Amino acid sequence: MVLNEEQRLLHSTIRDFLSQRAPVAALRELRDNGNPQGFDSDLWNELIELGVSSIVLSEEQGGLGFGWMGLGAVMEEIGRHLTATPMLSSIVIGAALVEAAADHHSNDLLPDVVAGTRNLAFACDEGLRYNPGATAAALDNGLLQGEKTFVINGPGATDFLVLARTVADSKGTDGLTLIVVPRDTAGVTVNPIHSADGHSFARVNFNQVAVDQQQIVGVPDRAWDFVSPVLDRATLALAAEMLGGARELLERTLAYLNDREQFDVKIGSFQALQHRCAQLFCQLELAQSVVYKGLSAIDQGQQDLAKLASHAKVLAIDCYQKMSNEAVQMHGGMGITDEVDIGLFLKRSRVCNQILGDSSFHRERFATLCGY
Amino acid sequence: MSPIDEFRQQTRAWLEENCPASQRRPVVKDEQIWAGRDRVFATPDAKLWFERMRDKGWTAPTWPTEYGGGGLSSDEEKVLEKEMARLNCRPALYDLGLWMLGPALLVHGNEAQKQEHISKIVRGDIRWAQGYSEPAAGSDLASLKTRAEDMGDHFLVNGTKIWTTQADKADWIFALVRTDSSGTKHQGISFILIDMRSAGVSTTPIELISGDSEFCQTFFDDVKVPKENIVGELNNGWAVAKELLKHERKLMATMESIVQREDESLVELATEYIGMDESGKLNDSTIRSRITDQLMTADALEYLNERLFFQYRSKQVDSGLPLTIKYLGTNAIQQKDELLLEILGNHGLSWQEQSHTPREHNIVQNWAYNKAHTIAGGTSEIQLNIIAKRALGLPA
Repeated sequence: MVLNEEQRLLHSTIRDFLSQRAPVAALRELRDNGNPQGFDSDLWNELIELGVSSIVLSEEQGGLGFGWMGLGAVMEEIGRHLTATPMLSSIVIGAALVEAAADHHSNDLLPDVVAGTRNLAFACDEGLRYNPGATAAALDNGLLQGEKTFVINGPGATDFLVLARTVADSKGTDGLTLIVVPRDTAGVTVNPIHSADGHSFARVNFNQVAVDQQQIVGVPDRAWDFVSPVLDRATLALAAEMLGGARELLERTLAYLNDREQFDVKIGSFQALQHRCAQLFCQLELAQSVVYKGLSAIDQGQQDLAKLASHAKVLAIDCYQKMSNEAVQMHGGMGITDEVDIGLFLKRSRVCNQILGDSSFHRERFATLCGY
Repeated sequence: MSPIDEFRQQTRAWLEENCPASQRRPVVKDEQIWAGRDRVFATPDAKLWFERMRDKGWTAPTWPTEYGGGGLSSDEEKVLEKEMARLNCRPALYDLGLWMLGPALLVHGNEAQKQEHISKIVRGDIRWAQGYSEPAAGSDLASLKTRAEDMGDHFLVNGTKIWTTQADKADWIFALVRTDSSGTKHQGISFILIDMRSAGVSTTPIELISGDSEFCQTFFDDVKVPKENIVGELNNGWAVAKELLKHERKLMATMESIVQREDESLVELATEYIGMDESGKLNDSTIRSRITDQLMTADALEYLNERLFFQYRSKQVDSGLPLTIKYLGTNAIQQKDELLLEILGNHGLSWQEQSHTPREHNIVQNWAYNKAHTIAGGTSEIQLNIIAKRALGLPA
């Protein structure tokens, strides 16, 4: 639950790189000047050169051995800098899904994804929120039909990993299959979503898309068996990103309180504000401990991470949400201006809430797993 | 096999062989083994368990063997704790000397004091009380007024201490007293050890909202104390007190597992009192959701402690992290108590053991008693002040 020397080095390398190459201003640039794919591909290629895309892979697949604690450090920095990259969608979810499927795609697709020449987007959410058990998109007689409403990295993806129902009368997460669909396939329509946080998402329609056997990823009809553990890991990585954002907010707020003067004193000397900051710090460290517990459990080979993933996501949601609200409030009038970055974190936190399951989803799942 | 695995195996075997079956259940209050000149054991098994642990030095596992401690490393101690938890072994000894004074004495005491007191603590021969707060010095502890006057060959102590936990049953008390009033209030305080049998010491229990009276007020009226009973330097007792407070705060946060009575499971209790529907969900969705909050906090606290352990072991301690434990831990205990009480419905209102089950009675009593946790050992508000200044660097 503590970073080793290599991981600490990785952490500071990524931090230095992002703070120089892609501070929060880079997200503003992306938001204000538009970019059809939703991320800066030069930046992404430079990050890949630093090795971020192979961290999650096993050493047989060219992984670097930094482990998930190392990955967590990278995600934390992405969260601190609000960096828009395909890291979560194409690597932490996409590449990991392909590797977990352990079929011919590991040779055909995976090397391109890790090299950044192809970009994956996991097409899962339908309706208003993440709920894989309610998947209605279906593959029937070789034709895929359905709508995926909130696909992370959708605008920049070269290929979609689509979760679809392949067993007609199946319920919940039974009877699902993962299918890789190239973006330029006939019948695929990508509608970009301009989300509040300036990152890119898409609503993707699959209208009578022809699919052959070669496009099936992993075991057909039972995809959830290998998809679910990958998503649990990704949820922990996302929670690490969220807490990176929360930590950055706390530090920025403390700096403001130590600088701003009213009534002839630093406002940080007021006990009402001190106590709120101290409580936020406690909440952050509590949530951080669950994230580290989960990431180090992966590194120790623990297979079932469902409970830890849900636990981490819920605490990360609560923490980031509270931290961003308090950061806005404690920055006073400046907190609600677009000139100050705080609002960007506020928006990012709400988007992260929805990715891979909101608080209700994970609280329900945690309770069910605990047997009450 | 690595040395630590070997230790684990030996420890497990030793505990299996030496911990009597009756000592492997959650401990109830009346059966706790408290130190003291006149200590009594609830059962012969309790005596046996205590003596076996004492003779191995495992009442104080990490203290040096030369003073009767177990001499274990922190890794070994963790193994011992885990193995004891695995078998549900009860703590073999309860004493403030063990939890608080001992660790501070090992740092600040002189050799004669260590020889005199440490081994008695390990052996459970002396029961210690703590004399810190005064009626007019609570959160502002350094404003304390109990004074020890230098009479040449001894000190003469006059004043009063309050919230002296179980002082009516204690043999000795460690106390903060004023030995110099000329400087700032933090200067001129000394840390002193006083035999409760000395002439002029008297103690009155204070009845609490729980119906317990574990806290007392202790009075010192011209009490003669030998000069060698000062720990650390004269007028420098604040340093010793701070060292000791660290241990107290850690203790308060883990109170549940150390001194607490039977640990209630929220899910078990709710299943029994509220029931589940056919899909296996609790019938009350609000309670169910609040149980989730509580379990998530409690588990997270366990991970936070674990994380801190790994930080200490790899010598990369985030200095702010330990400061969060008392605040978070004591809040979590109270949050759980409130929930337990609510789950019981009107059975959670029992005030007499006859009218309801002992378990129900115990829950309501604990709920009231545990209100002390966020006050004793530095209130939650004081903890937040400390975090704001030391961990977050906010201005005074």
